[in-house]
Amino acid sequence: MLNTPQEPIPTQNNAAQTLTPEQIDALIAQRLAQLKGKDTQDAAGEPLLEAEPVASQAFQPVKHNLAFSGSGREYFRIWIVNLLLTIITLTLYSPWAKVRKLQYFYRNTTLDAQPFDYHANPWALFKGRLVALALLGAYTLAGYLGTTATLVFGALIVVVGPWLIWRSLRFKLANSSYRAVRFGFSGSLKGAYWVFGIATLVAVAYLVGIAIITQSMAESASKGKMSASVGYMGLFGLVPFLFPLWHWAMKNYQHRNYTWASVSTQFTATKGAFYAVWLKYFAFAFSVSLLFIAVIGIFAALGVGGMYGAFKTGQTAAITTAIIFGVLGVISYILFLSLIQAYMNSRLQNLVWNKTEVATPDNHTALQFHSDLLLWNLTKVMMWNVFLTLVTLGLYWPFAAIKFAKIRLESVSVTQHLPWASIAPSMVPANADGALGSEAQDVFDVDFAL
Amino acid sequence: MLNGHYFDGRSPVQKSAQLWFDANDAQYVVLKTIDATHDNSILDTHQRRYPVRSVNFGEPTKQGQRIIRFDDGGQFIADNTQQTNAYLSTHQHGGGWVAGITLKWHWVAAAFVGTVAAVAVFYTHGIPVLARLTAPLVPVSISKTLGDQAFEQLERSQFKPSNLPQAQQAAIRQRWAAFLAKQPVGAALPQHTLYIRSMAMNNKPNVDDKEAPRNDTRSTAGMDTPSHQTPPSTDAEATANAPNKSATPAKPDKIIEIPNAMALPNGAIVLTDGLVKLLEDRPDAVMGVLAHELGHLQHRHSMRLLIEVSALSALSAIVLGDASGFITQAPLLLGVLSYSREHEGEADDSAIVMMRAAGVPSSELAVFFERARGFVVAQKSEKPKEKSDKETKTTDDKTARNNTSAPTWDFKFPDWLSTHPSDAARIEKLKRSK
Repeated sequence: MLNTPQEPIPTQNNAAQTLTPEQIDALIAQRLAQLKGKDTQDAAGEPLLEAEPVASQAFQPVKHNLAFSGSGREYFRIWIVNLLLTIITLTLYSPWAKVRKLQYFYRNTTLDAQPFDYHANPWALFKGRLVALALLGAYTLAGYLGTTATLVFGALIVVVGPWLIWRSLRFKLANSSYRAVRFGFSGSLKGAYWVFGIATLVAVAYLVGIAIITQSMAESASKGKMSASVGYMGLFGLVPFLFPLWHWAMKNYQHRNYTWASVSTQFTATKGAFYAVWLKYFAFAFSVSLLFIAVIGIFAALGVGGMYGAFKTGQTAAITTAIIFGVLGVISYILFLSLIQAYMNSRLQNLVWNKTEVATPDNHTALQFHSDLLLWNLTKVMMWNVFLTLVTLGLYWPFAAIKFAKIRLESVSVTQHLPWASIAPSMVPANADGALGSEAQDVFDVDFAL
Repeated sequence: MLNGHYFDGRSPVQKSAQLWFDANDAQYVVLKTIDATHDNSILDTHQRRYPVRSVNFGEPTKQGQRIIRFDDGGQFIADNTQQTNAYLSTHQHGGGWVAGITLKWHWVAAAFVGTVAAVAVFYTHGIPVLARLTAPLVPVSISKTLGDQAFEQLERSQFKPSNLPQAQQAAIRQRWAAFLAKQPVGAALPQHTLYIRSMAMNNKPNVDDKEAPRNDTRSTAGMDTPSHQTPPSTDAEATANAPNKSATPAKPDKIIEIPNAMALPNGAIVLTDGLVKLLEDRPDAVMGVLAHELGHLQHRHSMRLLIEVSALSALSAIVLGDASGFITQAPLLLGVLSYSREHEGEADDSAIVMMRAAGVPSSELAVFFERARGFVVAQKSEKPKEKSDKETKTTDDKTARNNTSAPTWDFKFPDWLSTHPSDAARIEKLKRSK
């Protein structure tokens, strides 16, 4: 595939060049003479190794803002075409739709003027969906066969689940790139079982335990003695307090194991920080709920009062009053939901990304992330998104998706401590289709939000 | 020729590069990378040729950059995206037909119309047909399990043993057996069991919504215990003076027997004391109600609603992607209501056929709807006038009229917000089809 510099450049295009082919040839000859027969076939490796020591000494840290250039109008086109094709093919088209959508979002996200990219092969996604469909079919069939079969299948899901999540994390990362360099996920399968498998077991045990205790409470209540069950209930009531711990473990598992070229991420958020976020979240949600109940109460009182007052003047006035206060009620409900959702979203994004950094194999900080997502800004976006999506019967949805991505992405910035040139290429050899390792062609791409 | 930069796929370092279609053989593109020093004096260039079919030229977009990928993992990005789009499309690399559609506004408009039409057709026809076709494939054992669970729960929470005299109950059963015996031999009538139960409402003034055994959203949403009830779904706060002869504790609270009937997917048809009393002088109307419930069983409406709800949530997930629950619930609820109304209509039709076969005029079933409405109105008018906050929030088309002294309250929720078609429409249909 490699050619020696011969000259197929069409002459009419020469104006666009800064150097003529002849000049280039001359310079090359010069350079070749300097290097004395040094192998010039490898375009990637050599200059890099030369440049590294010099560059890293002189380099001053630079701060880049993550930028998102996606537009609602353009994404609307992609969205509506995807939607039509997905519906008329009875969802068979959805892998292609997903790739097109993600490519639009990734390619419009830039750091230091360079876009991200998404590489998944739609056919791999397609096969994955067939497998998922088969599993679903088997599950339904198990339902017909009876309780034992369902239980066996459920247990199988618990056993296979963490493996699926692990595969799909690897798939997602291996198919994402920045500067044409693929990301990777280095988390171990064992780690996935620790984080997801044990969590599932605890959750199942918790639900079963609650069911048993509730029943025994009902029974002992009828006999007049409650103490033991109440004690167990109290004990089980503590289980939800493990949730922030699990949340930390999950984020820790992910953010410790992202790789890119030779660098990888480190995660320094503490368990205490996760507990703090969750506690503040509950305090916030509680006070906002009280406020919301008060506001709704006032609206209801005014609405009903106004309506009965308006009865005397006429029915239309009464209905208008009811509608006005109904709409006010719906709007404050949307505001209420957006506020508490935005609170969790922004606090979590800030915590997780401010505590993530990228280090070289010899433990030098290469990149540091900063996230400064503000609660009220995010709330405004979420509120308008829900409101306009409802009012337009869903047509606003693509605009909403762009707005949401924009505010979340653009609140992130990255401090670059090393020049790109001093980040060595990955040691994993690229295979023929450019994908690193087989996980890029994996068929298990589970869509799950973590 | 395009000026831009190149990444090799392994190192994050960018190199200046140029890309052009080979003038001698248009089946190849040529990529030239230039390694420059800081002062831009050129050190080195490399040129390689790629077969055009091995190159992914990406899709043209207005925003964002167009990435050209090579099969060795490298990528080229031109400095000017619009120029790239133009250059590539002159060489027939516009990005495939889907990208082409996306770029032309009239195609987008057509896609919009097509999507709306497709969603509408799925919503109104596709999903009901799908449910009609697949419901019979669901094994009876599943329906039975669902129905048993629902019945058990109702027995625990809402039903009490009937207070009707044994003789009266036996008379209903006998009449029903005779009604069924008159059905044609070919008619595939589903297996069912008739239960008569007391279903009462303990009415304190200002009773809570929760206690109302109305057609609650839990069952209509098909989430756990799908059941089919015949109206009226009485209002929670209705007070006093229901036709009630049963012996109740002499408290200030009165017990109201709710006239209702329902069919559960396990074949249980439940008739309430309230309904029997409401139609005490019209035994054939009771037969009409039973035929209506049997119609629900015949069409496997519970299972169909379950399938319809699942299909609808899948559709709404496709349309709205990962939208929040709040947005996706609205179309789901409206869909459920619309399918439920369709089922009521079908059950009415089945009832008409059965009644005709048994020689009972179909207007007998209309008697029930009329009286049921009258029952609700009666409840309402008994209400103390000053307390009626909750009326405003009642999402029920049978919100009654205060017909005499009080200000005329004629506001009704439209049909599309109800689980059942409007009584007037049903009565009309039943009276017409004699």
